[in-house]
Amino acid sequence: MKISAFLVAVALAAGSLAAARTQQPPTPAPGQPPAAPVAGQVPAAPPAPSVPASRKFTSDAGVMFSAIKPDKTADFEAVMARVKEALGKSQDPQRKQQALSWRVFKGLETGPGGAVIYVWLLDPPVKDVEYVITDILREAFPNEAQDLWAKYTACFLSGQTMLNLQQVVNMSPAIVPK
Amino acid sequence: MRVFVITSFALALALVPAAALAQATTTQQPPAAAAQPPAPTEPKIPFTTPAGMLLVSIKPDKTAVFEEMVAKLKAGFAKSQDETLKKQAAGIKFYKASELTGPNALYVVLVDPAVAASEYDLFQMLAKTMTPDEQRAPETADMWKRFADAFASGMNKLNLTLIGG
Repeated sequence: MKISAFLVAVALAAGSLAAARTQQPPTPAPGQPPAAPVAGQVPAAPPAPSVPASRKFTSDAGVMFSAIKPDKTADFEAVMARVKEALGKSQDPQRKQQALSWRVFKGLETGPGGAVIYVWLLDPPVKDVEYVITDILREAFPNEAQDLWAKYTACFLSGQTMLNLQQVVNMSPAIVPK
Repeated sequence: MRVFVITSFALALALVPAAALAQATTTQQPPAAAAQPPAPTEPKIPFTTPAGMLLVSIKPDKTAVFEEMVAKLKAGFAKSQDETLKKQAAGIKFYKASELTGPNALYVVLVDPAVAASEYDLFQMLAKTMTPDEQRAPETADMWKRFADAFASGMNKLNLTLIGG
C-alpha cells in the first residue's frame, strides 16, 4: 500500500468522526510499550452550514484551524501580516494584548483538495475578546478593510475550526503543577 | 461574507505518520551482531519543523486514565537523565479541548519547540523514562494495555512552521 500524502479531514461532523475512524490502538506485547496509535484515513466530510459564531476564547489557550486553498497561501499570509500590522499600531490595550500571544503557523501536512492548514495559536488568548479579522482590519485600515476582507475570504477552502483548550500538564520541569 | 467558524465540530487531522510508510515499505533488516549496539531506529512520530501538534482522541470514560498517563510521563521526564528527553519536555504542553470529537474527548499536545529527529510517540517517550526493571515488571504490561485502551483512535500529527516571525 502506498501512502503518498497526509490526509486532513476538516470539520467532520461530531458524530461521524468516531464512526469514521475505527482503527484501534494495537495491543502491546508483554513488556513492550504499544506502538503509537496511528490514524486511519478519514473521509473528508464537508462541514455542515454553520451559523457564524463567536470567536471569543474562554480558556487557557485557543486554536483556530483554517483550510486554505493551495494557490492562495500568499494572499492569506499577506492578510495575516496586515492583521499583525494592525494590532501593532492599535492603541487599544486589548488589541495590544492580542498581539502578544497570537501566533500563526503553517502546517506541513495538507488536507483534502490540497488544502493548506494554518493554525492560529493563542497562548494565552485575551479572554472574552473577539478575534474577528474584519474588525481588526477595519479599525486600522478603514479604507482598505473591505478589499483585504474580500482577499481573505477568497482564500478559504472551507471554514475555520475553533478549539478552546484547558491546560492539563506543562511538561517543562520549570513549571510547577497548577 | 464572514468565514464561518465551527465550534461544535472538531478538526480531524487524519495523518499517516511517515514512520508507518517506512515500516510498510522497508524490508526486514538482518539481526545485528550480538557484539554491536543496536542500530538507532527512526522515530515513529518525529517533527521536522520547529513546532508541531498532536491531536489525541480519548474515550469519554477514559480521560482519567489518559491524564494518569500524562502525569506519569511528566514524572518520568522529571527524573530522566536523558538530555534529549529533557529538551523535549521543555517544549511539550498537554491541553484538553472543550469541544468533543463525536463522543470522545480531544486532547491537544503542543510541541514548541520541537526537537528535531526525536521520538514524540507518547508510549515510546514514557518507556524511555523507565528503568529496565520497571519495563519488565508484570504490572507494566497491564499499564500499557490500560493506557492503550484509553485511545479512541489514532493520534494525528501536524508539523508547524511559524509565519511572519
